[in-house]
Amino acid sequence: MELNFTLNGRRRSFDVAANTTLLSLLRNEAGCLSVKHGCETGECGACCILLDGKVVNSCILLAAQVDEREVFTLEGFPGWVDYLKRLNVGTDEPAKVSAGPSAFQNPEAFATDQNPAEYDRLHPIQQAFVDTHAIQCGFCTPGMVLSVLALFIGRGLIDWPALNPKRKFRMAMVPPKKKPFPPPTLDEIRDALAGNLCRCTGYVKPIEAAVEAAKRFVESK
Amino acid sequence: MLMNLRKYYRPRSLEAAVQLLSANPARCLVLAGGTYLVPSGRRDVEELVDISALKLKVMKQDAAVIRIGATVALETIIDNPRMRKFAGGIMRDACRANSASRMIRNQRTLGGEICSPLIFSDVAPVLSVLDSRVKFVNFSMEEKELPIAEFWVNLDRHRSKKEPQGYFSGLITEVSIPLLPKTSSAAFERIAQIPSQPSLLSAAAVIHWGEGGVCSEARVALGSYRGRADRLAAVEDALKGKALTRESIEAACGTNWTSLSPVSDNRASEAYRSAAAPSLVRRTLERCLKGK
Repeated sequence: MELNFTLNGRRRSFDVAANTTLLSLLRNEAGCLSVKHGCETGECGACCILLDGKVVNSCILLAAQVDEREVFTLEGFPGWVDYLKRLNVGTDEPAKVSAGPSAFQNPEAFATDQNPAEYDRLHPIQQAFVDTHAIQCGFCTPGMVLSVLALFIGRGLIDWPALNPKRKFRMAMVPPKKKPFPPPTLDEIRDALAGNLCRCTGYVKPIEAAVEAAKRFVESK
Repeated sequence: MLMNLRKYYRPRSLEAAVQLLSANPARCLVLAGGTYLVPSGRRDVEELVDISALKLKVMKQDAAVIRIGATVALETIIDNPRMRKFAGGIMRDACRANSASRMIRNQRTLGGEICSPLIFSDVAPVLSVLDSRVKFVNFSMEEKELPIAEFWVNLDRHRSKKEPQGYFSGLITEVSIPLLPKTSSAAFERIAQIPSQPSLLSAAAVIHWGEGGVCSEARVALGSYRGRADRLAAVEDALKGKALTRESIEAACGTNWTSLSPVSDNRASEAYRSAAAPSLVRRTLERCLKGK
C-alpha cells in the first residue's frame, strides 16, 4: 500500500506491506537510525518518535497509521535535515555521501561538507544532555530527547510546526508567539521520561538534563 | 508483528467502517490505538479497520453528561482541564495509573481500553462507579446504549461463544458519564509494587451526601480483583443511609463481600488480594470522607 506522510518536515512516499511497523519503515526505508529497535512491545521507549507533536512508540504503531500525518525524529533537528537531503533519501539520485550507519559514524562525511559547523550544532536539549553527562551508551538518548521535546511542546516552551504544506517547516525550537507557560516541574519531567528505560544512567542525569534544557529555554526568552 | 495482516483500511464514515467489519467478521478487527493488538502477534488477524478517521475524538459536556469519543486518547483525558476537576480527578488518576508511559497513553484510547482483551484495567472500576454508559453501533447499524457493566457482560458472552473472532460484533462510538451532584465526593486508590507498575488491585468509590452528612448513595468497585470491575453491593448497602465515619466505614468493609474469591495470577496471589482488598476499600472510602 502507498503511504504519504511528512517526515521531519519533508513530504515522503513509501510503498509498504500492511503489517509493516513504523519502526521498521523509519529504520530500513527512511534511514532514520536514531529510532532504536528495542523491545517491540512499547515498554522501553527507545523507538519513540513525535507523531503530530505527541510522543508515541513506533514499534507498536503500524506504518499505515501515520498516513497523512506528521512524524518527527531526531534527524529532524538542524544539520540532520540538510544531511539527509545530501543523502538523497527517497529519490533516485545517487547519494552525495554514503548512506547507512557508516555514514553517520564517518567523520569524513562531515569534514567534506562546505559548512561543517552546521552539522556540529546541537539542539539545546541535545546540548543539555551532553553538558550534564546524561549519556552513557546512548541507546536510549534519542528517545529521551524526544520525550523532553514533546514535554516542552506540550508546555508551550517550543512551537510545533503546523501540518500545512504552504508553511515552511520550521525547526522545532522556534519560540511560540503566545506567552509560554512556566517551565515544567520536576514531577512533570519525571512523568515525561517514565516511558524511557535506561540501564546506564539511573535516570538522575537525564532528569537533570531536562531541567537544564528547560532553564535555558526560559532564560533565552 | 501481525504476520498475516493483509489489508488495512481507514474509513472516513461509521457506515463504511461497520460494512468492512461485518464483511469478514472472523478475520477483521477494529484498530483503535493498537497498543494491545499490534504487539500481540495474533496470527488470525488478516484485516484491520483503523477507526482514527471517524471523528470520534470529541470530548464534550452536555447539561448533565460528559461525552467522551471512543478514540480519545487516555493522555487527552489526563490533560483535559474539565476532567482534572470532575469527580475529584478520579478519571484522570485512573488513566494515569493505566500506564506510566506517556507514549502508551498517547496511543491508547478509551474505547480500546473498554474493549481490550485484558480484564485488568484501572479505568474500569472508575467507569463503573461513575455509572458510565457505552454507546455503540452493531453490524446492522443500529445505535444502542448500555450501562457499562451490562456492556461488559455482553462483550464477554460474545467472546466465550467465540462469535465473530471472539470479539464484540459492533463498534463503540462514545462513553457517557453523568455529572455528579455537588454534594458528592469520589476517590480512586491502587496498590502496585512501584508507582510505574500495573496495579495489583485498585478501588474506586463515589459517595452522595444527604442531609446531615448522611450517605444517601454509595458506589464502590474493585478492579483487578475478579475481573474488570466488581461492584461491592454489600458495602454499598451497608453505607447507605448512615453517617459516614471511620467506624461505619470499618463496619462496612467487614461485611461478607470478602468471601468473593479473587483471581490468582503472576501479579498477586488470591490470598494477597483477599487480604489487601478490605484495606484498600477502607482507604478509598476514607479519602471520600476527607473530600466531603
